[in-house]
Amino acid sequence: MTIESSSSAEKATLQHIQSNLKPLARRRFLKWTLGLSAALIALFAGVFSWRRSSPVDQLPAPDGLLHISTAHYHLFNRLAEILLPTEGSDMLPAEAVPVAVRVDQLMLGIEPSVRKQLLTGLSLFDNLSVIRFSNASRFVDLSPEEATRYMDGWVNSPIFALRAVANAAGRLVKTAYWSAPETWPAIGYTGPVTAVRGIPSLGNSALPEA
Amino acid sequence: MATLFRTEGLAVTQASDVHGDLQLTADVIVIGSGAGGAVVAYEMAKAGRDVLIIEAGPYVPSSEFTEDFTEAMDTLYAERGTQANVDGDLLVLQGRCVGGSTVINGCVAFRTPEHILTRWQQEFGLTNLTMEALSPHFEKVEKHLHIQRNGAHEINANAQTIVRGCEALGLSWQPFERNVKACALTGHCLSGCASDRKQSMLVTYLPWAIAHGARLFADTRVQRIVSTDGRVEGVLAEVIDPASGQVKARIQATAKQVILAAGAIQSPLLLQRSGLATSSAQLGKNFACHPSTMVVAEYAERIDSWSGALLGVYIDEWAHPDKGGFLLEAGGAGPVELSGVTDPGTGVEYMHYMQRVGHLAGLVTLIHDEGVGRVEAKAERYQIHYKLSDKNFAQMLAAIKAASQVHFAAGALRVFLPTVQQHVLTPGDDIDALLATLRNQPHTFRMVSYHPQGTCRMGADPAQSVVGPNGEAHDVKGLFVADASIFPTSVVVNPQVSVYALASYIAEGILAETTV
Repeated sequence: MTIESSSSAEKATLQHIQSNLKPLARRRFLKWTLGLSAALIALFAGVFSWRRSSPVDQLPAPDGLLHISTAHYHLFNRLAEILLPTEGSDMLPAEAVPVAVRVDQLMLGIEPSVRKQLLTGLSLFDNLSVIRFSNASRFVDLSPEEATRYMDGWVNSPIFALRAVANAAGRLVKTAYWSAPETWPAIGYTGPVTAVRGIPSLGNSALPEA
Repeated sequence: MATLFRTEGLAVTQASDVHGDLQLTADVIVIGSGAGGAVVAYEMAKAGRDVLIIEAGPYVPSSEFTEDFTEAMDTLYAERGTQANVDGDLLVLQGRCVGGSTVINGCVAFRTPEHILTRWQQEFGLTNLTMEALSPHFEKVEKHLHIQRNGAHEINANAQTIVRGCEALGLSWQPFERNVKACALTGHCLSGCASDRKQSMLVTYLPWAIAHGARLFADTRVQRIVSTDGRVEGVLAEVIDPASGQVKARIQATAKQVILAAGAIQSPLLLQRSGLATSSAQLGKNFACHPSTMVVAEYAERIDSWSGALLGVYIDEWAHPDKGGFLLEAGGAGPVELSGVTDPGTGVEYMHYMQRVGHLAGLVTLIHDEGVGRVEAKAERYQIHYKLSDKNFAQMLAAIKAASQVHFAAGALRVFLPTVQQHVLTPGDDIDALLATLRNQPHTFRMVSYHPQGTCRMGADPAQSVVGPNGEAHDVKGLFVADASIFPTSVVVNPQVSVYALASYIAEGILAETTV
């Protein structure tokens, strides 16, 4: 079921879910970190069934993504816009770096079950904003100010599971951006130096004397 | 033997060289080519033993090191640099390549502190491990690895800033000793030394062992250690095609002695999968890791902490357990690493922090932690269980407070706490009040460990330890462990020299006890 408009009944349901978050924080969430438990995800299945559609859902994603879905692709791009604003600076705009594609590549290093759980947590992150803001929008549709406040809320949450998901998402996006060499000149980082400086290799150390 | 010595590179059998199952024999099989394995392999080969070294990771010659930290994580680190505890709030970084963690460490060289050896003697019956007994081994590896105190040119701007703070507060600090020869001051130690200045196993003990006839297989994962009637017989291993991850060949190797040196994560896991050395119920337990954070601060002047020697000085004021049990190490980093060590605020605040990244100085906190963790083999994977004890949480707070005070004494404009929550201090802020808001729960700190230890602990009592005072498993004759997993407790300091010396000590014991 998709929410097309926020009726009073729907809002009541969402408020009910919200009210259930606090006890969850004390119980299930205590076992829910980066590795979100299947049990908890099942508890939140109701949230996903109420998933609000977004214009972003109609946008394409590049071919060849290995680990993240189209929805996650757009979520990571929106995160990059919110976490890496460059207006008024000489830093490279986030959209000039294929952040979401690089996140997909970074995901290769994450153990599959953890990766799956993290992506589920990120879907939760995207969707739970519908109960935070009066316009009942997903994260990808929030204004920059709302999205910043929402991210701050997760990162500073007393519920460590929320901190874990937001921190993991932020680290992925930031690593994807700053590991791109084209972002370095603006901050004065020169990158690799050995080849540039022509530093010769010393090779293997000589055999110790007997 | 000198004809086998290469002045650069290694003669390694890789997956691409193997085209069918193999049956091999040797006097000694060494599992792992890092700090422990390489030293034992060399000492054994030099003494005339037929040595077979088996390394799970790939062979990456230094000519392929790119000085790009993200790429290095992919090629040189375990789990591509994502190995973490179950809670996901502690990154456990280890090398997984020929040469192991010695390839990607920061070159910091400390002898095992005497008070640690004393504790091992008193609490674990290791009366053999005196400083007197170990000194010849420390001296030997220090000579072999060119370990020297940093010169003035190796104290970079980051370290000089920290020294300024120490001097203002009257704190004790020391230049590091490092295993590096004519350091090129690139600052890229953690991505591997592209010019072979770092005296890692890749350019020292491994080429020396091979020069004495040792054979080295990379891309080869030992599946099981085989024993019969309480005596080791050899190993079963698989050669893995690194491109596909598929098994390319199987190896059955026999030897009278097997030296396990796969590190404090993989060594206990291999023993668990082999069903060996389990009688004490200590296998995989007592995991400690020196959980670290990086406390960074912004200064008015440009520092470029990534330039020069990566690690210049350390603060030993609180090193002894009676004084706090933590070290503070002045360490710089590149922007990729600094992008994630703190979070000053979402969006604009964060980008301002990164825009000023050249003005940041770093101070790494390193805690003498209790062995409260454990590693556990699962069907195809494994788990690292580790949470800070309340005692270690208090130490972490004390270390972060101390680091903040040093920064402010050095003239810092802002200190960024290494917490997941967004906390920034300015001069005059009440540090205690802020730290009092933190709770000992997962995802409070941004923690990294380069020093896993203690999962096959050494001790005189077979009921309380996995290996005996000579490194031999209590349960299996001929099976020795020679890596940081045998530490009965964490050692406070960067552990590579402790591993080298203990491996040398264990090798000497094996050679004294057995003949070819």
